[in-house]
Amino acid sequence: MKEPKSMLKGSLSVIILKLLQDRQRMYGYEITQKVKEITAGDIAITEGALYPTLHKLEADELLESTTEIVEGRARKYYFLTQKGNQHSVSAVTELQNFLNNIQLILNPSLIRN
Amino acid sequence: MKLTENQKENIHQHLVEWNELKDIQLIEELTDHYITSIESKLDEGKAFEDAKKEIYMSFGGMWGIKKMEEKRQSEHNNRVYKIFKSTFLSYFNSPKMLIFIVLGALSIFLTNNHFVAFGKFTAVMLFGVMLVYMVFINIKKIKHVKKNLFVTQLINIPFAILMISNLFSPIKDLFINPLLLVFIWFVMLFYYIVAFETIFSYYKKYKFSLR
Repeated sequence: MKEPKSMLKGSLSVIILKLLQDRQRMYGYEITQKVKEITAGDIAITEGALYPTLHKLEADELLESTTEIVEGRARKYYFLTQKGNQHSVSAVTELQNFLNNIQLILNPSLIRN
Repeated sequence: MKLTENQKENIHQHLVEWNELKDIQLIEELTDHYITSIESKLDEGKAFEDAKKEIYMSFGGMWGIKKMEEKRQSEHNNRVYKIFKSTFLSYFNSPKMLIFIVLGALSIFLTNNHFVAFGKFTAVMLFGVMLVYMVFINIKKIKHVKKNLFVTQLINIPFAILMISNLFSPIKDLFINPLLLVFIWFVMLFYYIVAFETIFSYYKKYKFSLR
């Protein structure tokens, strides 16, 4: 089942930060493919959402980028800054807590009496 | 399947001519994305034009691509403004201001003839205006930057006229208080020093490529 776009919207930056936390550096296309691969195609990030988020994270100094020539063309790799590294840890925890709470709402039987 | 040179040229045209992108870094990034993505779609058996259209739609079409460029532009402007502001303020809580005043005063008093000195400084200043303008244009060849810079440079026009007229006539012929002229000179010098320092800091921080 495909995830609705609105659900993905708020968590896209956390997804990017988490992916970059696990890998040293990635370029835009690689991120879309990695997400597709991990979720077996359930979550497809559109380019129209990915790049503005990457640029925003870069402007906020959570990411930095470097350009390398690959197969005769420039490729822009993104990586976490120190600030981005710290931020990604707390952002992942926050999202995890949020998901746990949503889980409790959807399955009230999970609440311990 | 690797793309042919013609197909790569087609992508470049698609971005630069049809979608009117101006931001070189963005064009480079999107070109790489289009090529990599189309190559993998061709491997899945899709046709070049279909693959290109699919990616274009995923970007939100022309509207999406233009919006992305505009957003990047405003983020860029914010960064320049932030650096300019902090550079400007840094003169008021450090010995930099003292150094600036001493150098500014020296630049006036080291020449015996103030009028000639002002004429010479005027030429240097105008050269400075052009240089600041050219460096900024080269940082990012974006239409919006040119427009914004044109507006900011408008402020220089009255000063430029004043200074050009000063090149050809001695101060006493101008209906202007020499003290006021010294004040204007200091303000202009300050503006250019802060502007140059901003460009230098921006370059050091973001290491954009000058082309």
